[in-house]
Amino acid sequence: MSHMLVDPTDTTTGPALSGPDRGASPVRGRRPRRWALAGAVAVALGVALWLVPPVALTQAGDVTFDDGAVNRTIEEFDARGMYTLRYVHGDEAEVRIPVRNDGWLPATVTGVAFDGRPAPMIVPSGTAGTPVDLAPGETATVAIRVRFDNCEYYTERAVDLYRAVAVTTSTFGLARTHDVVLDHDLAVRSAVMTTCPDRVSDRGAFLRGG
Amino acid sequence: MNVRSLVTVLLLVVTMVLSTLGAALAHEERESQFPDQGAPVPVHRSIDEAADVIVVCKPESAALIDAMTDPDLQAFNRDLLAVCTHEHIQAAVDAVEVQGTNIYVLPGLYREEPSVDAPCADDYEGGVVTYEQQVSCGEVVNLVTVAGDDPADEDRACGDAPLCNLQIEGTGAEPTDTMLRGGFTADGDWVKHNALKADRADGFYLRNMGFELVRENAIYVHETDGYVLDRVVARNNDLYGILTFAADHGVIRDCETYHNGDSGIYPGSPADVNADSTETGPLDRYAVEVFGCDTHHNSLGFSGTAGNSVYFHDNRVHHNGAGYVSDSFVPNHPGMPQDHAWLEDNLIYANNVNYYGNVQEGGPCRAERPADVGYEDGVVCPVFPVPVGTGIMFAGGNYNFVRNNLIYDNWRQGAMLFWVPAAIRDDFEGGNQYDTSHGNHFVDNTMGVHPDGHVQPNGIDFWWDDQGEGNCWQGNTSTASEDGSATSNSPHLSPSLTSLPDCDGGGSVFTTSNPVKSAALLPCAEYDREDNPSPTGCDWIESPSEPEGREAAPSEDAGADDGSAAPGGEGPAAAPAATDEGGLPATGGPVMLIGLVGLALMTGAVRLRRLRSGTAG
Repeated sequence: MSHMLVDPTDTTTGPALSGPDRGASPVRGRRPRRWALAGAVAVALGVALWLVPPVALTQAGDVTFDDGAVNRTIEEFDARGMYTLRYVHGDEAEVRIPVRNDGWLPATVTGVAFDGRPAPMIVPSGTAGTPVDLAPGETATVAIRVRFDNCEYYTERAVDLYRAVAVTTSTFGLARTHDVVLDHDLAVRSAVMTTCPDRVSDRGAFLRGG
Repeated sequence: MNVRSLVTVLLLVVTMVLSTLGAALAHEERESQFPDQGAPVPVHRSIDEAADVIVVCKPESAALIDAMTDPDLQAFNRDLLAVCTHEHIQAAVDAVEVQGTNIYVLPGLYREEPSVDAPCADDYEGGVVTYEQQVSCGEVVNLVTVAGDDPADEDRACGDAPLCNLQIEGTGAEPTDTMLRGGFTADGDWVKHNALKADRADGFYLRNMGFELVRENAIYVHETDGYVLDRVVARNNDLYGILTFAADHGVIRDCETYHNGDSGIYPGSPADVNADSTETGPLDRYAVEVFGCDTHHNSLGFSGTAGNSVYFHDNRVHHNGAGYVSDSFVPNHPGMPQDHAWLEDNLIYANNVNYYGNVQEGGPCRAERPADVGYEDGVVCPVFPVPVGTGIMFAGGNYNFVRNNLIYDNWRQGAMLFWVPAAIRDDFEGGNQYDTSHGNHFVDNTMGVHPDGHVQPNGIDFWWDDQGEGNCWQGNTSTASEDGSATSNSPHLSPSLTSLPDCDGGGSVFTTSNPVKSAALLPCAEYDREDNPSPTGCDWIESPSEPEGREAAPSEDAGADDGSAAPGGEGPAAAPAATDEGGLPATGGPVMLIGLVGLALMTGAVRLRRLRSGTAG
């Protein structure tokens, strides 16, 4: 149709109609570039979202403990270094972990926990510092209260090792759990028989899995 | 892959391997202290020298004596049989009235049935056993109890008690002619924790007997000053063959230990008689001397938490998961941190047997009842993780002296030294965290050669994490390098160290552990035989590969001397003993002779290699 509307001899239409790239109208020519631009932006945004998730929690400082907990941090030991915490059967301690929101959406930290392994030597008994709102880039300290227990399930040489904590958040009503990897392993070494009232010499007497 | 990448990968691999370090072993016990009586090492007494004589025999003793081939020994046994008064060893111990008594145990199998069924033990639930309980009812954990000290007095010395200076001696031609056996109850559980325990029994002498099949320790000497364990066999136990704890003035000689789930020989927390010394050795005084022993096919050949002042010489340590291990890991062990062991003239080789397959799903150790595991057939169920393929490991120790040993065919490493922070042993004092891995010397050892001259390299000869002051390596030779010098991880991993520090230069200057090489025991420390037999990140329990250039020695007998697992494969359920029951050396002489001949041959082999390679000898 269009060629019937254009007289090829009409020079007033000039070079706009000449040449292979001029076959489309100016409107048609800008539209693909805009789509491409929009696509690129979308891809970039997607990559950015992928690289920087809406809510991302990381450890933002040393793990600390309450004043009553005997502990020591030894960065040179083990490839990852370690936090050590003395097991005192029946006592309680507080493990404090500073976390930062490295995402781009705000989040409310609603909980923090260790994994659900059977018969741990540090049994979670509560949390502190939650809930807490974390804007992007903000840091807050959350804590897990633990009770030293279950030494009868471990040998005198065993170590109960924790490499991460699970932090739950809520953003716009959506809940999510984040594994926050600790900068050093948290090691709780087992008590010996004289300080573990339930221990027996039969090493197979108590199985953690029941 | 370029060289840097390759090195990086190797670093990672080595780090992962080392991250599994951990373990050597300890045991559970009441609070214990070193004896301080200053008692001498007892001397073997003849029957004429005994203050009193008590004889124990079994119905089968007469027939066993009739079958003896040595007429003198037979006559001696017949004389004793004529005056036999007891059928159980514990009954004989209970009958002792004067110090210096000799109890002769005639050939036979001793099960100590009255101890197994002792009513006083009915209420025992498995916890700490006090000394008072050992005296009043040792049967709660022991088949035979020798408790010397009177608990009514305030000290821990044997004093005037009749059981001081007691001697118990088997009268067979071989130790295993007189066996004390635990075994299992009708419902398949172990009958006892210990076969024989000498507790605060100063001057105790045990000779020429075999012990087997108990939940913990076949022979146990505790808080005793002056003891000798002479020509004994301890085998097929869930934990230790021979265990001593917080004892002094001891000798363990001419023993054979095998098929024990922890270690064959364990002098734990010997008296820390050199605690204040900063000399490495040799020193004038040691708490226990171990010689002439053959320890093989155990999870560990030798171990000692706080293994202080141990003089370990002229022994064979072979075909275990790991050979000689001492550590500073466990709380409540007097004498921490470990110090001043002296290892000389030992054969430490082929400690590559991987028993960890036994504890995995489907393995024999997963049987519900101990009676069904196969302990009596040699099944070893490793209690702790060990670095399979390691000859010697000092996991946090000071002033240890390792000289003139033959260390070969250990596929992971010949000898290993690394730091253990004090917090691991429950000592959280800030100033104590770096108090281990100082002043250890490794000198004039011959690495990587079988006594007959065949090349049998270690994976590497020496491994060190760079931690500590005054550690040194000097005069060690090896077949693993072109110039005959020992190999190590240092030249490859530490830019600041081109070789291991020598002793003439004063040894190492203090640095903290190299984080790249740091012996990360934590992943392996999660090992639990029942609950976590394959902890994440622990490749310590995997078999190392056979080193390149290994030559099979003609003397190797695949059926009797090679219990090692195939590279990367699972270990045997039951590795055969290197010697049969009659193979125990009567003295340390044969072992020493093997060592001397081996050294001579090895020196020749190394010189020959140097000549061939054109290096100066």
